[in-house]
Amino acid sequence: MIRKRSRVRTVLIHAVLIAVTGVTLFPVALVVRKSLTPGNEFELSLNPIPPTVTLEHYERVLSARDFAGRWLFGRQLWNSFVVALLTTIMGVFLASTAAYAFSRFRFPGRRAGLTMFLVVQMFPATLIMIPLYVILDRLGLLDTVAGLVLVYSTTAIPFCVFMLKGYFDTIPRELEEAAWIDGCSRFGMFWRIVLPLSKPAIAVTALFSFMTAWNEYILAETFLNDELSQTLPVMLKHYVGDKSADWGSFAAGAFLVSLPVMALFYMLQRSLVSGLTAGGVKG
Amino acid sequence: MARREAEARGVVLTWLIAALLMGATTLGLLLRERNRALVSRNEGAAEEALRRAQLALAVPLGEGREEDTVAALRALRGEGGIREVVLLRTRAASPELAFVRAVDLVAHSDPEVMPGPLRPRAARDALTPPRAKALYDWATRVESRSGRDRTWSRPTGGGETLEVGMALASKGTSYVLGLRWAPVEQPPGVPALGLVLILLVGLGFPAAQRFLGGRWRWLASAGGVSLAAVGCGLLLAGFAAEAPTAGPGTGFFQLLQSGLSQGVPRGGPGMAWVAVTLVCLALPFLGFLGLGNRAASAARQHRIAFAYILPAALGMLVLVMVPFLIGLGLGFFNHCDGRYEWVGLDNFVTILSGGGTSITDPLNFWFTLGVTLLWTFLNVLLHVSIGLALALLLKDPLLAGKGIYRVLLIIPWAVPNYITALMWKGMFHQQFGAVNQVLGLFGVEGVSWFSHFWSAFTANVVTNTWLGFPFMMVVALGALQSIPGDLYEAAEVDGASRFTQFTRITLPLLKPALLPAVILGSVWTFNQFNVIYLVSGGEPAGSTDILITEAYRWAFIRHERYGLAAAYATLIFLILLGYTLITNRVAKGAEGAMD
Repeated sequence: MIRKRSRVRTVLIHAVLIAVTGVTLFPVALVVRKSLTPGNEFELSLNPIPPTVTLEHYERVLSARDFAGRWLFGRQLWNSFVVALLTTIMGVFLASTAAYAFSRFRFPGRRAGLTMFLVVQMFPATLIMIPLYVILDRLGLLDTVAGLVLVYSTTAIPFCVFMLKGYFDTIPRELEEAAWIDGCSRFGMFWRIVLPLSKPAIAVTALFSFMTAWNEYILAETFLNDELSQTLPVMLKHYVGDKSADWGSFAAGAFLVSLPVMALFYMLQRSLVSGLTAGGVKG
Repeated sequence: MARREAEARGVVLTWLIAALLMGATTLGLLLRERNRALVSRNEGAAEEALRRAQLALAVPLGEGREEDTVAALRALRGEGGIREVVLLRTRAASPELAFVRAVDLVAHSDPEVMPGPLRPRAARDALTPPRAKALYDWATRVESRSGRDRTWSRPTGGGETLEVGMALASKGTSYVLGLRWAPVEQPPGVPALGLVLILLVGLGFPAAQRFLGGRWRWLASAGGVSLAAVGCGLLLAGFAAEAPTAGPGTGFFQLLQSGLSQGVPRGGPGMAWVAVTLVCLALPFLGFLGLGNRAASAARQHRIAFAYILPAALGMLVLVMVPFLIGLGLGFFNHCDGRYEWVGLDNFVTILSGGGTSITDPLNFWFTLGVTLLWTFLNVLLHVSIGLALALLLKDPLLAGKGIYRVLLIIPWAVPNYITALMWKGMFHQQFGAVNQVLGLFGVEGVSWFSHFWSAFTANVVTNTWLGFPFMMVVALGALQSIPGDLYEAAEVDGASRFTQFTRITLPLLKPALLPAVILGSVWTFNQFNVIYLVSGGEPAGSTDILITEAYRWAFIRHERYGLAAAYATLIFLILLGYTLITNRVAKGAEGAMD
C-alpha cells in the first residue's frame, strides 16, 4: 500500500525541484537568448527573454561558406552525421558481440580482458593522441570519415561493453538453454534472444556511441585539417577562438549542435534509466 | 630422456636468438653514430640555405612587391642544391570566417607551376595532390606558430628532400617562404612497417603450432616469443631516433613519423641494450612455461568466444593499446628541438622531485596532484549528493510531472562538454558574466573570478558539477527503482524513522550500483580536460591546472616537452589504476563486478 503524502510535503518537493530545474536551465536559457539577440558580446541582462529577436546568428552559422562558395555548414553537418551514425553502428556491433562473449563464455583471458576494458578508461587522452595521429597517418586515414569512425568507436567501446555485459548478465540463461534444445545455433541465441531482450541497453549503447562521435572535439580538431572534412564541433569552437570572439554565432551553433542529442535523450529517457542501471554500471 | 634433450636444444636455441638480438642492437648503435654525422652535415646545409634566402628577401615583402621577391627567389634555385623555392600567402578563407585559412601559392621556383589558390583537395596544375596538401598544412602550421614575429621554422622533409620555412606577417596576411633542397645523404633506417611485420610474424608462430608436432612445436613457440620481443625492442628503440632533418619548431607529428619510418635504433645505447638483453634472458623461462602451446590450445578450445571478442579486441589493440604503449615509451625520452634522447627515468625523477620548485609552486607535481585530488573529490561528492538527492525526490510514484523534471534535469548531460565549458566561461566573465550579475543583486561587488586560486577553482567546480550531476541522478534513479518497496513497508511497520530507512535500507542497497558509477565518475573527473582548460585555463598562473592539463601544456605549449608530458600521463594512469584496484578490492565484499 502506498502512503498518502501530506499536501505540504508535495508542495515542498515541487518547490525544490522547480528551483533546481530553474538553476539548471538558466545557463541554457542564456545561450538561447544570446543566439537570438543581435551583437557578438554578452550583454548585461539576466532576463532570459530576448528584447529583440533576430535570426541573423542562425543565418550566419547556417550559411557559412568558404571562399570557393562551398557550403561549409552543410558539409560539416553531413560529416558529423555520417561519423556519428557509422560510429553508432560500429560501436553497438563491436560492443554487443564482445559483451556477449564476456557474459556467456568462460575462457582464459576473460578476466584479463575485462580488466583491460576497464583500465582503458584511465588512459589520458593526451597520452594516446600523438601516437594515434601517427598511426592514422600511416594508414592513410587522416582527414577521413573512416579514421574518425574507427577512433571514436574504439574509444566508446569499453564503457559500452561494460554496460551491455552487465545487462546481458541479468537475462536468464534458461531462455538460451531452451532455444539450444530446440536446435538454435549459438549465433541464433545471441541474435534472436539476447539482443531483442536487451533493447534498453542497446539503445543506451547507441546513444553513448552517437554522443561520443557527435560531441567530440579534441581528436577531431587534431585529425582533421581540411575544413571540408571537419565536423561541427571543430568549426563551432573556432567561433570563439583566438582570432575572433563571436558569441552570438557560437550560441546559435551550440544550440543547433546540442539539439539532436537532446532529442535523442528525450526519446530514449525511459531506456536510459533501465538500460544504464538494470545491469549496466552494476557490472 | 627425449624431453631433456629437447630442453637442452631449446636453451641453446634461445641463447642463439639472444646473441642475434644483441648483434642487431650493436649494429643499430653503429648506424646511429653514422647518422649523427649525416644529420650535422645536413644541418649545415640548412643553415646555408636559410642564410641565402634571408639575403634574397632583404627586399621587404608586401602587397605589390611580390614581383621583386619572385625574381629574387627564382634566382636562388639551383644554388647549393636548392631544388624548390615556394612563397605562399595565407589569408582568411572567407570574409566572415577569419580562422579558416586559405593558402595561395604566390611564387614557385619552377616557372611552370602556376600561382593560385592552394587547396588540400584541389591541387593546382603542376603540383601533385599530396604535395599541395603538404604545402597547405605546412603553411598554416608555420603561420600559427610564428604569430607576428619573423621566425624560422623547419619542418622535416618526407625523406628525399629537406625543407625550411619562414613566416612573415604583414597586415593580416602572412607570407610563408619554403625552401627544399637535396640532402647531402639520407641516413638509412629500418622502416616501421617492417618492425610491425616482425611483430606480427612473431605472434603468428604460436598460432602455427597447431599444425606442427613434437619438437617443431617448441621451436615455433620460442621463435614466436623472441621475434615478438625483437619487434617490441626495435620499435621502442626507434623512438630514440633523431629525426635527420629536424630543427627548431618542427612539428612533433612529423618527427614521430620520420622517427618511425626511419626507426633506426640510435638512442639509448645503454638502456635499450640492457632491455633487449633482459628480454633475451627471460626467453628460456618463457619457453619452459610453454606459453605458446597453452595459448594455441586455448584458442582452439574457445574459438567461438574469441571469435565474438576479436573485432572489438582488434580495434582496441591497434587504436588504443599500441598508442598507449608508444606513449608509455615516450616517457623515457627527452624531446628537445626535434631530437629525442633516451634519458631513462630522468623525466619521472624531475616530476616527482618537483624539478627544483617548492611545493607551493603551481608547476610542482605535488601541488598539482593536490589540486587534482581536491578537484576530483569535491566534484564526485557534489555529483553524488546532488544526483542522489534529486533521485530521491523524483522516485515518488505519486509525484506529478516527474517525467518533465527528469527530462529537463538531464539536459546538461546532453550538451557537449566543450560547449558547457565555454558557456560557463562566459558566465564567469567579470563584467558581462551572468554570475556576477546575480551576485550583484545581492550587493556583492563584481568578482574577478580568474585572478584568485579559490575563485577560479570554484568556477571550475561549479561548471563541472553542472555537467556531471545528471549522470549520477540517472544511475541513482535506476538503482532506487530496483529496491523492493516491501522493505520500506516492513520498516514502517517496525516503526523505523525516515532517516533510519535511508541509512539502513536505501544506502546499503544503492551501494553496489553506485560504487562502479562513482569509480567511473572519479576517473572521468580526474581526466576532465575540457572544463579546466576552457573555463579557468589554469589561471591564475597555472595554479588551477590539474594533472591532465599540465601534461597537455608540457606537450603543446611549453617548449614541446613531449617526453615530460608522456611521463606525466604515465603517472596519471598509474594513480588511477591504483585507485581503481584499491576501491575494487574494498568493494569486492559488496559484489564481484568481474564475475
